[in-house]
Amino acid sequence: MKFRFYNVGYFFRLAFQGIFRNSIMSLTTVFVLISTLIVMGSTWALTTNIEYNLQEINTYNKIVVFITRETEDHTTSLLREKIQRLPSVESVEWVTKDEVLKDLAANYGDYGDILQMYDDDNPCKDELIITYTDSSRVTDLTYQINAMNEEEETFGVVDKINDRREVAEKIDSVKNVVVLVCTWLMALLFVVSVFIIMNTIKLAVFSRREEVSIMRYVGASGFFVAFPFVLEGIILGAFSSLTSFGIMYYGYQLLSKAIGDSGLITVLPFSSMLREYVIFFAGVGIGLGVIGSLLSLRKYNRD
Amino acid sequence: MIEFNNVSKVYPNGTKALKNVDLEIKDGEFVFVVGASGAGKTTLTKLLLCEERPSGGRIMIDKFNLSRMSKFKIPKLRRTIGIVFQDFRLLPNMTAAENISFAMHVLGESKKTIKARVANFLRLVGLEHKADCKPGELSGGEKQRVALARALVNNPNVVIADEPTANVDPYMAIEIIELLLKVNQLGKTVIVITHNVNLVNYYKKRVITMKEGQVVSDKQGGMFDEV
Repeated sequence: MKFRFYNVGYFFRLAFQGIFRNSIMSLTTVFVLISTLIVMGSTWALTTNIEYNLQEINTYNKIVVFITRETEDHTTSLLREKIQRLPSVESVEWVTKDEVLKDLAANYGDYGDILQMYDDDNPCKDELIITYTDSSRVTDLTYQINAMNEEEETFGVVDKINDRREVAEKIDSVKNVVVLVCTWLMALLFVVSVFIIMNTIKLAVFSRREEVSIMRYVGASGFFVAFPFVLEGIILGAFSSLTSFGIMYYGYQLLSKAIGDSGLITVLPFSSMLREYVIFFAGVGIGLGVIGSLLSLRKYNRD
Repeated sequence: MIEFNNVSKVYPNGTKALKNVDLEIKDGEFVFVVGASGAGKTTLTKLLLCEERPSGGRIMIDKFNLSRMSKFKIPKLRRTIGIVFQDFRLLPNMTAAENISFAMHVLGESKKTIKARVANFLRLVGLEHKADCKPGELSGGEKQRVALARALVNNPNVVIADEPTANVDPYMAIEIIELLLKVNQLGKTVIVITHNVNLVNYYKKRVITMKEGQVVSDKQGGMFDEV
């Protein structure tokens, strides 16, 4: 069979005819596909952002040692010297509680003045900010500082050590739960999508059964008969991809603005994931369309 | 050349539709296949179109061995066969011309070729003035002539007409058979499956009579009721 360029128009005409003839099923397909893609896209965005923040935490090579409030300056200084001598320590910066309060006030911007009420009774503590060279020795470092807290000349100086590992571990476990739940949800939606597309295409085949039977009798190739149906799946998939991409884009912008403004975590800009997102949405959407339609045409191909 | 060598067909439900059928139809022959309902005529057609595969024996149509043909080659085989159905099977949303051109279109013919050939075949079946009519606006005989034009438009070697006169009046039935004879004179092999006693007896062509899945009579210039 010769391929004619005008056949492309014919294929598209049949595909769109199928979509509009079974509009309810087509709408259902698009709705399920969009849901699947949004869940997949959100999971991806969430895990990418969590991983980025975890990485940031891990590259934050500092430990903060909070000094008990009653400690004399020379004792703090002694502890600082002791820590400074440890092999994996690069520097130890001593931030007094007044500086801590001042930094805090600066972070609050226009509302920083509120903290002036604490000028006479500063609730903050002095901090020793330790910059280390080897992140694999953080546990050792923490252990050694705790040991210094037991030594006579620096006894009870350390109030608390904050090495952020706990936070990282918590975030990581939350991420694992999110990934697990979303993976199951995605798998479920994937199966539902394929099933719905299969039924939509089956309906399209049914509504064109006379045409298909004549095509077969006159010797049309399997490709010529089947391609309009596969194209229908592709169009439904592509339309769903485009719509869900738009929803994700605007949703992400809104959310990242809200979260970013809070300053709690770093939200990656959408543009940094744009290329992967376009490939992902187009691939999954169109892929689902093709898989669904091919599966529904299996019976036809067997006959 | 069409050859059936010891062909049997048993359906999955156990029905023995054909039993050891031996048959030979030469190129350019005109054959009536007759027999009561359930005699195996429809199965014979299905086997020729490769809609069904034989349970035993060998079927050859020219170079095609239908018993062992892969499903990918079936479209190629069907392009050499034109089929006319009792119920016309025209697409209701297409005009007469579009119904004919559809058969060429799905084989990838160029628009120019389609236009020229469709006009020729509409003239051949005497329906050039009805080119733009949809099947709903045509009589039974006209519909069957459109179906015949569609079967012929891709220039097949063999034309199978399955009860082509069943849904038309006696005058139109003669006209359709005359058209098929004209097609036969053009060198095509024509197989007409029919119940129409008068037509078979009138034309005195080769008559293959089937009964309970077997060929019980095969005679040149035969009559319907000889068995």
